[in-house]
Formats: sequence, structure tokens, C-alpha cells
Amino acid sequence: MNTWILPLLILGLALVIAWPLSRYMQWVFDSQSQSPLLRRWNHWLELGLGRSDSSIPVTWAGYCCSMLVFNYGMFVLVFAVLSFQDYLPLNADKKVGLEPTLAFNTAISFVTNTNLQHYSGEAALSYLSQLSLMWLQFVSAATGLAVLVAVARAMSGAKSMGDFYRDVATASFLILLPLSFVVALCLAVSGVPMTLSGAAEATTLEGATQTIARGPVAAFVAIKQLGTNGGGFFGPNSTHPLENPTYWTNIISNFCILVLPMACVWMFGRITGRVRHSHVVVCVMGLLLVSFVAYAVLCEQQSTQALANLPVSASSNLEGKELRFGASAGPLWAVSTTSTSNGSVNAMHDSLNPLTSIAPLTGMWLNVEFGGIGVGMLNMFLFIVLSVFLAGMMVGRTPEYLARKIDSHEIKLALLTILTHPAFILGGTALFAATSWGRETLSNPGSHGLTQIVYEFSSAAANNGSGFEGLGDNTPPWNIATGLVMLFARFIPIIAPLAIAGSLSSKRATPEGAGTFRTDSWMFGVILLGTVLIVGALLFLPLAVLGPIAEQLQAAQ
Amino acid sequence: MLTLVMFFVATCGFALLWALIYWIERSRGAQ
Repeated sequence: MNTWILPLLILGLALVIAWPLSRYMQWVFDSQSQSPLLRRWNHWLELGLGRSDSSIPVTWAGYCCSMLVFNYGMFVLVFAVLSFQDYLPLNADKKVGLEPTLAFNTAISFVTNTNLQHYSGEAALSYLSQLSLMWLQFVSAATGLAVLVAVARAMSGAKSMGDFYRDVATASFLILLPLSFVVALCLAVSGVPMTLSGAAEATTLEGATQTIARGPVAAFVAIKQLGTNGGGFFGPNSTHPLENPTYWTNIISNFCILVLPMACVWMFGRITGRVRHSHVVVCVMGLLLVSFVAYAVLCEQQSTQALANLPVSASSNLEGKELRFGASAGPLWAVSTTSTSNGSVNAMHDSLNPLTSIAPLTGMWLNVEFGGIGVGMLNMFLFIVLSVFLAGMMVGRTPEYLARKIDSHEIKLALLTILTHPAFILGGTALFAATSWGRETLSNPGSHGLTQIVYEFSSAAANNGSGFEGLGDNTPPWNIATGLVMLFARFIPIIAPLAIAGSLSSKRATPEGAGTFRTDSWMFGVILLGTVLIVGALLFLPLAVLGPIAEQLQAAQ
Repeated sequence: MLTLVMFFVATCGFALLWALIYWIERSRGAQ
């Protein structure tokens, strides 16, 4: 029973807080609000951004171009900081510039909200580099949220998509920054360091001198979790005792991983005026998430094969776990972090039982069980368009979504975008499994080695950023390949929903009648769930069989 | 030198995404 208390507490708490948070998020993005606070904020934005005429409608392509220009600018800036950090200030420990392919991978990784890290932050980065990455953690998360708001606006019938820069500023300053401040304060009080001083020197009990890395960790960890970023200040991420020191910091962190992605779905429903529809979507996503958590926690109840003949073999799988968090914290976090595109870890995923590792992998393959901040709902938006189309075809009616008729243009875009995700993972895995680029970097042969490669590409394509570990991934081929996968896997699923929403919003709204397939019914939920599982998961079944399932069968022999 | 190459690779990646926007826009207009 004790095993299930932590998952129930964290999932329940996140759901309860996400509902009022979604109301707040809708409120801050409402440019027509008469609230004195928001009117003053909008006035400041007009002064800061130099746009006084918000009546000029912005098309989806205009919104997309602003988003790409902004993200490219972020890349250029951070790539320069990482490459030349030895010439820049806030470098108390004299760190040298990153190797070019690693700087490319790292800058792309943080711009795309992935936070895949082929380095150890405390060993490789100056404080200026860490702070510039922390800035990216805010604005990359804000980018996802801004795009979701634009799509919701278009689906609600608004003539303009909105102003991307205004949305990013609102998301950063009115949502992410206040929440991060509160969470950072809670973490700092709980023992997470928050300083700009250099590494501390300590004398151990044996009399040796130990260097203890530290820095502005609490601020970094807060936005790392809230913004579904996942990149750790320290290499071991949230297993490190200075990033996640206690049972309570673990609960706070895991709660933060889930709360904003959940709130995004309800926010979409509130902006479009279809709250009942968002309830159905939350139920589908929640059902998937709860199923994966239950499956992972159950699978980790069995001890690993390495401990088979030892006195602790009757326990659950304790390998690679931080015991200060409790036995179920590892698998719960593993599923939470991969389902929400977060990517931080509080246990070694390489040490999960083979069957358990299917849960985090599937979380990244589907990428819709709440998903990343903003983009999780955008991914689900594509599946919703496809589900509505399939349901319409089954009953012989023209498919409609939120009172707009869906035609071939939208379906082609949705399907092509959904298929790019497996293409990046399967193509990348095939290339690296067949060549020395991948084979020479493995720490395990056979099925486990294949899982290491699959996991790395899944993590990059889902903009997740977690590592299976055990893979020597700081090589030019890995840095370049995963960098490109992260770039395209981030922005194609952002551009396509914007294009679909722009296309749908340009059509005349058709009033719902008796023949309209309702998207707020349980039947729609079943069709959506089926579409996600069949289209999203079945493509990966051969990989699951060749990797984790084959490993489990070999271990059982 | 490699720094410039990697910068160029990333720039090409963003340029391709920019081209995708216009390809989608044109394909919609062609219908």
C-alpha cells in the first residue's frame, strides 16, 4: 500500500492545482481583459515591444516566422556564449569553451526545450553559460505555451493569431517567473544551494580535500521542472543530493513536472470555450499516464537479475535508485519525466528492469500523455484532427472539429507531422545501430545496447532530454545527429498545428447539428485513445520486441 | 573553423524550417 501513496499524492495534487492554474493562464493571455493589472501589463508590453496597433491581424505564417526568428536569435546568442565562455565573465572556475559539436548540440538542445546533455554542467560550464541556459529554459517553455495559445485563439474564432513576442513575454513574466520564484524559494529553504560563489573546498574525515561544485542551483532546478526542460545543473541531474536533497524536494519537483502540462490542456479548453472537450482530452491523457505509472511501479517490484542470489533479492529493484526518496519514486518520476517531455531523472534509467523501461520509452514515443508545456497539447491536437477525420469517415459524414470542416489539407499536414516522429527515431536508430557511430559508443552488447540507441533518439525526437546512460554520447556523430533531430522534431510539430489552426480559422463556422460528431463525448475519448495507441505506438512495437522484451526473455533463461 | 561549420549547419536547419512554412502556405493556396 505504501508503494502507491506517493504516486497517488503527486498525480492527485497536480490535477487539483492544474485546474485553477489553467484559469489563471487563460486570464493572463486575455488581451481584452479589463483588469487594471493586465491593462497595465499590456501597456508596458506596447511600450517595450513598440506595437501600439494590435488590430492588424497576424496570420499563422507571420506568427511562425516571428517564432523561428526569435528561436534562431536565441540559438546564435547561446552558441556564442558556450563556445567562448573562457573569454566571458562569471567564470570563477576557469572553464574553457565547449567543443564545437557539443556547443551546437547543447544550444539546440536548450532552444528546443529538450535539455539533452552530453556534458556535466558542474565540470564543463561557467556560471554565465549556466545562466544563459537557464534563460533559455524560460523562453523555450514560453515558446511552446505561446504557440498553444495562438492555436487556441484561432480555434476560438479570433481573426488574428496574436503577437508572438507579446505571448512569450506574458508566458515568461506572468506565469513561469512567479511560479519559479515560489518553487526556487521552497527548494532553497530545503537545502538546495543558491549562490554565485565558486566551488567549495571541504576536508573529509580522512583528511583529504574535496571540491564541492555549487552555484545558482535552486533557481535552475525550479524552471527546469516547471518548464518541462529537465536539464540539470549537475551531471547526475535530480539524483544529485544538491539538486534534490530530500523526500520533500522530490515531491515538489515531481509535482512541478506535471502541473503545467496538465493546466495547458484545460487552458486550451477555456480559451476555445470548449471546457467539456478539454475534460475528455485530460481523461485520455490521464488514463495513459496513470496506466504507465502503475505498470512501471509494478514492474520495478521485482529485483534485478544482478541481485538474484543476494540477501536483498526479495526486495524491489533497488539498483540505480536514490533510497532517500522511497522505492516507488524512481519509476514514478521516470514515467512523469518522459510523458511530459521533461527529461530530468531521479534514478538511473539504465538500471530499470527491461520491461519497466518500456514505460518511459512509450511515454516518449506517444509524446501526448500531457507532453511538454504547450507542445503536448499541440501533439494531441494533431491526433484529435486525425481522430475526428477517422470517426467522420466511419459514419460517412464530413469531419468537423470545433465547428470547422476538416479537409484533405489539414489531414495531410496532421498525418505527415505525426509520421515524422517515428521517422526520426527509427531512421536514426537504424543508422547508428548499423554503423560504428553507434556501436562503438555502447556499454552493453545485444538487446540492451539497442535500447540505449533507441532511447537516445527517442529522447531527442520527443524533445525529452533524459538519458538512458551507459552510452558514450559525447561524440561528433551523436552531437550532430541528435542536434538535428531535436531541431526538426521540435519545430515541425509546432509549425503544422499553427498551419492547421490557421487554415481552419479561415473557414466559415458551421453550426453544430444532430449529425455532428461531438468531441466532448466519451465515444470521442475512446476513438482518440485508440488512434493514439494504434498510430502512435504500433510503429514502435518491433523496436520494443528487439530491445527491452528480448532482454527480459534472455534474462529469464 | 569547426565552430563556423556547426553555426552554418544550424542556420541551414532554421532556413529549412522557414522554407517549410512557405511550402505549406503555397500548398494551401494551390488548392
